[in-house]
Amino acid sequence: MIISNAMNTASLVMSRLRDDLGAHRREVEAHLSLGETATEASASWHRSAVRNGMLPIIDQTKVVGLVALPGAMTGMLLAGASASSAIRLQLVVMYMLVGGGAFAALVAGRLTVGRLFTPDHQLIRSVRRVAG
Amino acid sequence: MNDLSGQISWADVSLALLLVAVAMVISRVRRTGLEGDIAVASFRSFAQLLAVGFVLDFVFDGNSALTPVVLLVMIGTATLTSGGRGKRIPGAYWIAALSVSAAAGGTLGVLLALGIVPAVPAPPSRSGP
Repeated sequence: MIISNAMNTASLVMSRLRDDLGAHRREVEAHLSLGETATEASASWHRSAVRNGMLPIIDQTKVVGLVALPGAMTGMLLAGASASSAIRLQLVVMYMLVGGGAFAALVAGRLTVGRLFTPDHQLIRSVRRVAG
Repeated sequence: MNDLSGQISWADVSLALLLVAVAMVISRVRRTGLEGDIAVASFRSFAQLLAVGFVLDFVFDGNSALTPVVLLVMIGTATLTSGGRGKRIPGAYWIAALSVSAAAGGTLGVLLALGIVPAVPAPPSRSGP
């Protein structure tokens, strides 16, 4: 579950960051031309991409049990486990997913920024080809 | 054991396929062109769950040495799926692999370090999940 959730998060962060930097190419380049580093110039889109990647699991954690019954907990209860132990397991699972999502978003965001700029702090060619 | 597992027969499973058929009919009527995808998804879920169910049962039955293999397959598949989404980013597969591994390693590391989950599953009684 951590892995599949991290997979979704990484996909979201990567595509969002790529699309945003492409769409706001001129803004990013204006930042760069004023002497900002790649990290500084992409900071606001970096933040929104990481945020975007973490939102689904946070929302899911908010409504767990109200909208979707978690499978593991329901299974344990059906199999005759005590309510309390099933609840504890599910809580650990949810907190684990939130933490895993944060790790994945952090790493994916940082690495994607690294890949979309050259070592000389220019946007890479394929991003610059986008009109904007 | 009063779980549901003994109560659902393979005949019941095939009856549940009626729901898939309904989805395909809806897809056909609304011309979404998803019939092929639905068929592939149903077949894949069947094959994958069949295989994984037996593999997991085997691994949990005292063959926990295989756990790293299972984890590697999971991380590998996740990497391919997520990396495919980020095709326009150079090295997307590396980004996906590293972030998925960081998530899995980081969370499991914290859980193990704090002793929230034991590193080795309790073998004899299989009381826990």
